Order: sequence, then C-alpha cells, then structure tokens
Amino acid sequence: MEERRLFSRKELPFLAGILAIIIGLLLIRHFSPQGSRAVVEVNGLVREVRELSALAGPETLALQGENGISLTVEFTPRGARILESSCPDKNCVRTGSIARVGEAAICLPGRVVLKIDGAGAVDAVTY
Amino acid sequence: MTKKTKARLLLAGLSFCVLLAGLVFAWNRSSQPEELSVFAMGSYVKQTVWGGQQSAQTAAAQITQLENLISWRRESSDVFRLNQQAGKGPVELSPGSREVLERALELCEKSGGALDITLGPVTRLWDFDNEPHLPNAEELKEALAQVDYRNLLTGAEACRARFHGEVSENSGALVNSGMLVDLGALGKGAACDVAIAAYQETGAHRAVVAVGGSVGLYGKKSQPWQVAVRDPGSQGSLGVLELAGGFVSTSGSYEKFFEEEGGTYCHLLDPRTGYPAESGLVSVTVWHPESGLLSDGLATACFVLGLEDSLPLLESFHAEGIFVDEAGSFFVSPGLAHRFHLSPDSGYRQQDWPKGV
Repeated sequence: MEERRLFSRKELPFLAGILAIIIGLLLIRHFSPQGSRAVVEVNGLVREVRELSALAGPETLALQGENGISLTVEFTPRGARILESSCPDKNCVRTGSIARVGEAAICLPGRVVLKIDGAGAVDAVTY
Repeated sequence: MTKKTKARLLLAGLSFCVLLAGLVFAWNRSSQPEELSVFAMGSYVKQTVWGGQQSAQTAAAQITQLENLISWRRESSDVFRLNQQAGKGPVELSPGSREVLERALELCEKSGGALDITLGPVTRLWDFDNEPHLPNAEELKEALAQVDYRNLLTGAEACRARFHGEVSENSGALVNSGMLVDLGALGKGAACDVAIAAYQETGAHRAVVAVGGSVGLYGKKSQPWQVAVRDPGSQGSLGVLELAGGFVSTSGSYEKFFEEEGGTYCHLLDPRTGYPAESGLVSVTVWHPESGLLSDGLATACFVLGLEDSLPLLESFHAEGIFVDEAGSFFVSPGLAHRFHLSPDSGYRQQDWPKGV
C-alpha cells in the first residue's frame, strides 16, 4: 500500500525554515518596545533608557552633562524628573515630574534631555 | 486532486505568505523615520524625517549656519558685527541674514513696536539666560532709550542716506551707538524655516522639526499632524492641534521667570516699558501657513499686545492663534476652532473669540 504523507522528507527542511522565519518575525514584534519609557539624552545621544512600568520603586541616576554640569535624574513607575542640577537657571529641575508621552525636561546649559517616549506620542509639542 | 498536489499547493501558499510578511516587515523598517537631536539656536532641536538624502543632517547644518549668521552671541556673526558697528557705519550682511532682518522689521512695524528686535540693551540687563535679576530703574531707562527698530537700516539706499562711504544692497546699519539687535524672539522660528527648505532640497517626503517650542511641519501624512500645545499651568498639554502643515510657535510667561522683591518677572518684555509684558495673558500660540519666523515673532508680539490688540495683527499676516489668560480662560481663532481639541483633564474654560476682525 502507498504511504500517504502530506509532505515528503525532502520538503521538511524547507517547511521548517518557513516556520522559523514566521516565529522569528513574531518574536521581533513581541519584543519591540511598546510601553512608555524615560529616555535620557546628552548632547543628542541616548545615554539611558528606562522602562517605567518595569520599575519596582524609585531609582536615581547621576550623570555628567556638557559644560561641567552634573545632574541627578529620578525614575519612578509613575514618571521621571531631574532631581538636581548644577546648572545656573535650574529650569530643568523646576519642570518637575514628567509622565506623559511627549513630555520633556530639558537642561540647556548641560545639553541634557529627559523625555518620555512611547506609543501614542504626538508629532511635536509647542511651548 | 492528489495528496501530493495539495501538499505542494499548501507549501507554495505558505511560501507566498512568508514572502509577503517579509516584504511588509522590510517595508515597515525602511519607512521608519530618521530621528536626529542636536542643540542649536540656544535650544533643543529635534527632527523626525521620512525619506530624503541626509535630510536631517543637512537641516541641522543649515540651522547651525543660520545661528552663525544671526546670533548676537556668535563673534563674527552678521548681527554681532552689526552691533559692534552701531553708530559707526554699515556692515555687509549675507543675503540670508538680511532677509531675516527685513522680515523681522516688517513684523516690528506692523505690531507698532510690540515686537522690537533692537531690544538687546534691555534684554541684556535682565539677563534671563544666565543670572536673571531686576535691573536698576535708571539703567533700564537709559537702555530703553536705545531701543527703536526704525533705527536699524537695511539696503544701500537707507544706509547711504545716513552714512558716508561704501555701501551695497546687502548693507545694514544701526544708527546709534549703544543699539543692539537681538533676534531671540524669532530665531527659533527662522530656524524652522531653514530646516523645511533643507527638506525640500534633499527630497524628504515629510518631516517635523521642533526648535525649542517652535515647530515646522513638512509634507503630508495620511492623518493630520498632531501638535500638542503646552498647558501653561503644568507639564501636560492644554490640547492638541491637528494640522495639515505650516508652523506653530508659543510664547508663554511660564517658560523663563524669576521671583525677586515679592514680584514675579517673566522673560517676555514689553519694548515700550522695558518691563515684562502685562497683557493679562500666560501664553499665546500662533500658527502661520508659510513662515516659522512669523509664527514665532507673532507669538511674542501678540503676548505683549494682549488679545484684543492682536486681532488686526494676526489678520494682516493671515495667521491664527490660541490665547490663554491669567484667569484660566482660553480663546481659539476661527481658523483653528475645528483643529484644536482640548485635553479632557484640562481645567481651562473656552471663551468666544472676540468679534470685530
């Protein structure tokens, strides 16, 4: 009696390859960042990224900006803020906590930007 | 149909689906915009650009080039040389800085001096960018005497009428010594203009540039561009503007201020008094269809003028606006009424746009 197989043995590696590609694409999609995250940039380069929802509690980060300015950034599950800065105007500290996607605290003298990224961001903010 | 034919068809179908998925995935990746953040014009400059050849880098370079022409802080800039030569004679300007100065002068004139780009002697006394402080009243009075945009001359004819010697079409001059040009009120908007020009030159499909709080929008999206307007009282947004393009700028008293001797002083100075504007407003957002320089300069001028006196000015430049006052009310001009969506958690009350325009 003739063997009734859907695929021949020769076709199996090809089928496995297709499945591997599908799984790979799904994994890439699954692990692409979706939630809101705090991003710290110094002079236009990303220095730190924290997924806020993944934080168990407040965390601080000390960093050095441009022009000898040092700052402390605080991340919490609810938002982030520039806690301290040695800059002269302290506008960045006065900005307070930011939590919504698109918000930012900027230290111009130190060229440091703390911003909230994530899905649902508007194209730009005018202020 | 035999079992083997079915299997072959199934395999071919699967292969096709994977190929299609792969193509969609690759297209998604390739259609991801290029993002570039730099510091220029004393601001954080953020660009998001779709398509084009080195468009974001070209725009960033053009913004820096503009800064090197029009910043009074940059030694050897046209404005720096203009200030250095104040009262002495004309200087040769680049066509780019002459164009910025002349557009700004038009705005100064139409605003009746509510915007004055020769306010430099006064802004330096307040020193909002370094050590803000309440200036001595006598010093302020002396500085204010130097402020008059009508004493900034551009072009050969105007310069020749006042000064002897060589002049050209691109000459510019300040009539009195002690005068200082400061383009801080519209420089960020002008930077948006050069960025948009760079996107056009380099073939970008669409782009958004934000120089500080001034925004330029280029090209079409399937959905309108969304620009959030900052809530003057918090870090959130007052609402969102949905726009097909153009330029948006905001002047707000919350941006830079200090407290001294029981008073609060913001950086938006009234050129007529030398003190912070007291128009009853806390923020003005202006949209202009074609010019970032105008949207930026108009936002400052309207903040100084107040709502009622701003209406003819906005009308004359075909601009639209959103005004927020100290009492927690806001006003949206008719052209933006259907494009502005108030944030659900906003505590502001909308009032009717004044009639008469």
